[in-house]
Amino acid sequence: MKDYKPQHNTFSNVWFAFKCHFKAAPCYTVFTLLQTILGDLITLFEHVFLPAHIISCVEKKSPISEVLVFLIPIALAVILKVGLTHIVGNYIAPKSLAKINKYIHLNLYEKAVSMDIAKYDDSKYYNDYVWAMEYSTWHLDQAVNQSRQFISNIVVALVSGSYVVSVDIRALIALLIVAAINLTANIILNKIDMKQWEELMPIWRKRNYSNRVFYLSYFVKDLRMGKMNERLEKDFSECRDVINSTTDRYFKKFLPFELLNYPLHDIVLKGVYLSYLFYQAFVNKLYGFGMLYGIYNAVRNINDKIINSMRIFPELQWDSKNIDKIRVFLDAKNEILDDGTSKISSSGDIELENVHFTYPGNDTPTINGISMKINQGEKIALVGFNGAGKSTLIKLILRLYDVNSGVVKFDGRPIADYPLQKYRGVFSTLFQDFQTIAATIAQNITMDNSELDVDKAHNSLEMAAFKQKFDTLPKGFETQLTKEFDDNGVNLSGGEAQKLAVARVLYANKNIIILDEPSSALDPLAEYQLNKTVTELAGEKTVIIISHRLSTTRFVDKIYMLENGQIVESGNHDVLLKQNGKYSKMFKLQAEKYR
Amino acid sequence: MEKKKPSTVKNSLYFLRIIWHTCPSSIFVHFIVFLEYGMWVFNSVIFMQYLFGANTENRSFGEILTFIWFATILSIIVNIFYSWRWKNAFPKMLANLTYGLSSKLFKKAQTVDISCYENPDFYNTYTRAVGVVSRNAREFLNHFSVFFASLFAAIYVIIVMVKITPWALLFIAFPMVGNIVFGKKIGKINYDINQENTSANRKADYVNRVAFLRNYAGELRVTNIFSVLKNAFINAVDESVVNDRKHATKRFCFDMLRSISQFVIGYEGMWLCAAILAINGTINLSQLVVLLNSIGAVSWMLRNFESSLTGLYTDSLFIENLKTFLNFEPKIDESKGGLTPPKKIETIELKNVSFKYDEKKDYVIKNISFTLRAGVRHAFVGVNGSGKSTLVKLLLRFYDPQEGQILLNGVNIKEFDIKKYRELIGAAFQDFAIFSATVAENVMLKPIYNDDEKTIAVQALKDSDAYKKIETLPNKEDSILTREFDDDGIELSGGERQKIAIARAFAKCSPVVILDEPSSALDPIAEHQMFETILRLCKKDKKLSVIVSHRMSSAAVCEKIFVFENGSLVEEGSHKQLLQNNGVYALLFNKQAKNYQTEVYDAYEGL
Repeated sequence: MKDYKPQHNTFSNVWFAFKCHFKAAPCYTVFTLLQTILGDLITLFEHVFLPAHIISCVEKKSPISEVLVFLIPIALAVILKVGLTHIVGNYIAPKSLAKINKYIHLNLYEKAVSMDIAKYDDSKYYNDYVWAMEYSTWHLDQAVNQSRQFISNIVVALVSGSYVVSVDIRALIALLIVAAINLTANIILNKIDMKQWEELMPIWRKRNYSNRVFYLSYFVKDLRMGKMNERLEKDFSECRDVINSTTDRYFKKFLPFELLNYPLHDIVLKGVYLSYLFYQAFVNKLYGFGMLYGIYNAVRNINDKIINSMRIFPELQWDSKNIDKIRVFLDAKNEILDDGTSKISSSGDIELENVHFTYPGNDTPTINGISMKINQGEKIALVGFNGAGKSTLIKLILRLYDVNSGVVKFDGRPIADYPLQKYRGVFSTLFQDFQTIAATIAQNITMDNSELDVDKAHNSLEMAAFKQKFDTLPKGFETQLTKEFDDNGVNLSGGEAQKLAVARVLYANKNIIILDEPSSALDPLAEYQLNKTVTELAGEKTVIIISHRLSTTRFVDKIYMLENGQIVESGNHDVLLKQNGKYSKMFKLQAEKYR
Repeated sequence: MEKKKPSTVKNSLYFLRIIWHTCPSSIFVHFIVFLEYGMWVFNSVIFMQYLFGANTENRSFGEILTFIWFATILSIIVNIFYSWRWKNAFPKMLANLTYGLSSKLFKKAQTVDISCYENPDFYNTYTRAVGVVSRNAREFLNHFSVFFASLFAAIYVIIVMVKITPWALLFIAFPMVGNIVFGKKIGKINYDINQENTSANRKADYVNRVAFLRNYAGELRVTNIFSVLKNAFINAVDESVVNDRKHATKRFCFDMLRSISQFVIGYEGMWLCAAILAINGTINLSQLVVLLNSIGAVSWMLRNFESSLTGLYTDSLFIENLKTFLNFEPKIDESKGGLTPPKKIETIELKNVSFKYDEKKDYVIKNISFTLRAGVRHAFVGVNGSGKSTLVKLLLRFYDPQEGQILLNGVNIKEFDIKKYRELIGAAFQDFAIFSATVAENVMLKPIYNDDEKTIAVQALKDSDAYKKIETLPNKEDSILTREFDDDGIELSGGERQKIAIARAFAKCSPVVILDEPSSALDPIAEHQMFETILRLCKKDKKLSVIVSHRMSSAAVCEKIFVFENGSLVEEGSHKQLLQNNGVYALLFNKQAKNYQTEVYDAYEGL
């Protein structure tokens, strides 16, 4: 995968994450920040200054009360710290996190559902921006957590820093040297690491793919019938070799900076600085052991905070990249403008005038100058080979895409004049790749939150030939479909699901019905029933049907034969047959087998 | 399957043995953690003891300086060693471990019964272990090495502390007991909350997925279904908050008790005790510093010890599943050899075959007998669920029937070497898979080494009407399919994919061709082309072909048709005979044909 170039800088993205959290749960966001800082400061006093004080007291042979003067407040502070942590953790965090979770996700969902469908076709865009949303939200939380820790680290380092400076300014010099070296080395090491990661990413993808093929049931039959395993095993072992050699190659690049990093840090902080401290304490008798312990550990504490903060950096960069995708996703402008205001009637003529359309990223047009008029109440069929443009035409009529040139009109007006949702609401559509939703049968029929009209639903199921199956389901309309989140859910077979999808369309009772390949998975009896239903959908309803099975389409008022995005023949069945053209040839090819 | 409580020790040793045989270096790399713990003990106990003992032991400044630099050099060496470990040894070890373990499992995966994949219970518990084995192995090795390293290090530090004062034991034991007792209660509460949230989480995950999945994009836009899903999401999130709230007070109490016993009593208690002893003069300054420092180290070591132990328990459950998978004895042993099947096939005969997928369920194939012959086109027809696809699985020996037998030229197919037997059959499945490989490899279903094989693939693509499309791709038949790991990979439409699957059956040049629902996504011309090819192969090459379809036109062109209903063979014969019978076949055929027949009649009249 190519490297992703973010559109905003890391700081701006982290700030965005904070804003999201703040908008959803302001008190919680501020409070947790303060709580983290307070907690870390208490830890500093508990683990650095308290032991140092104890050692000093022992050295001075002070009474135990002097130890207690420091120890009791610290113990109380620690109790306060854990108390706060657990109160927030148990009583406040779950609610606030849920608020944040809902705020972020619902915003993303709204955007996803209203986004141009064309954005889903661009595979790169889809993977980077749409599909990435499934897991990117985690990075918003992560960025907030990480930067909260970062801020707290700085505060703690400043506090222990001022203690060290107040005793011995030279410690600060040692510390700054180490920090500068560590920082430089780490930045370079991170860069090399990122590069290596990018280089290995495709290898891992390949390796994971082979891995998946061997355990996913989807592949097993074809795997057993051939020798594809040889290729996969070869790929798999090549991946191992590439990872090994890449690792070795990069190790040579890492090594000089690795050598600079920790060993130097050891020499300065452990060797030089500690020697100096002992010299001051031992030879110059400047401080006692308590002081020595305090200074040494304070310096180590600052150093730990610096190292920890440096580890946060690359992680923040990583989060930032993903947050960037969220922002680009949310900022994306739709090309299909939803600014129509005209009032829409529930039915009307559909008219296409010299329509051209090319899918984004394609060279050849899919629809190449189509004009047609579908009168109110007319039943028409679109037929033709795979890839002739039939399904695309449907998508243009539904305004899932906007035409490149020409115009689509509904009820005499360009469809862009109507509010988008209202316009699409005029149609009831069965898509070729219709989906069964993991919800009850009732919801799969109504497709919204409204109350199910039981009589109407029974009627629709009957007409769609799903009644027989339906009667075997003990929970009736409340049956949960798919095993997605209910182990007792019912999985429908391909044919059954298609029948249910037909019922869905019938139940919606819209004046315009679109059926894209409604009978591909149906057995002959169900198909017969469907044909009957379509013909019985009396007078006033408009029906647009796409089918490869010409038996399904023969009863319609007008058939359009499409080829390469153009209408090559049109007319009713008898007319087209008499023309003896492409439709007639196609029909006879199918029909001769039924003679 | 009955589940016994697995023995953690036994399972750990079992997994360790497997890892040892596949990638011994991974064990060494993980055991570097001993060095880590050693350095920890050195830095927080020995180093401090020496330096702060300078006064009581009357050390000279020179001695101290020497020791400081000795420790510095030791630390440098160890850090360089760590660099090598993290940047070189560890990633390489991971690559080798993943390769070693997965290859072993791939081999096994290829020999287990197809039912291991198709039976959801078995699949979810055992087969899926294949996919996550390397991650689990890493976790296991981590737990295993930390278990010993932290145990030894903690024991050492405890001995040092107890030698200074036996009181130390109190401040080590109290937090540990508190951690175990309250930790267990908290763990139980979290587990309960997790269980209660399972369905809410699954719902939220589902909505999250559907919102961004391409397949749902159309329906989400033209219907109002998303309002249903949105509500489901909000309810799911709210539900988990409510579940959490129910346990909040109880968990808060245990959280507090645990933290106080651990931090306040553990640290502050130990420090106060040490201070009193030192001020009394019972212990000296260096002993004081050791006590102050060690309590932190030992409490962390013990915590790590405990979590590695819990980890090993969890790992054991996975290892148990892995063991079951690796020890699974397939009913159909694909590695067992057998007779070499004849090159020329005369007949395939089913004799009183009955079959069910699950012992507890009903028979899906009921006492079926028939004979398939070379040079004849056969069709299996029937409504959805009549047992057609199951018969195909039996013919391919994906399953063996419980009763009756399947004979090839009069010999039971169980006698043959299973791989060689399957080489006799070219098959296209209803639920075929497209591999992320070149088009030609997808057709041949094997790696391609020479041009001859490519020529065969291209011919098969032409026969299935797929080549018209493939020809237009920049790399033609060498184009990589799917974008799994190649961003320039080709994504074909449903119809094109199906044509590739059909080409597979042709490319194999095998004496038997089986096509299961081959034409559902094909346009009439492509379908016609496919039948022409089958006809040619049957007549010219005397092949035996079987088409499973619910398009009656597909059946009508075959010489011999078998009609199934509820797992039984109800009719057989030629198209003509069956129409005359006026039975199930005639009913199905006439339903579908009605529209065509009258029209053709009209059309001819019109001419």
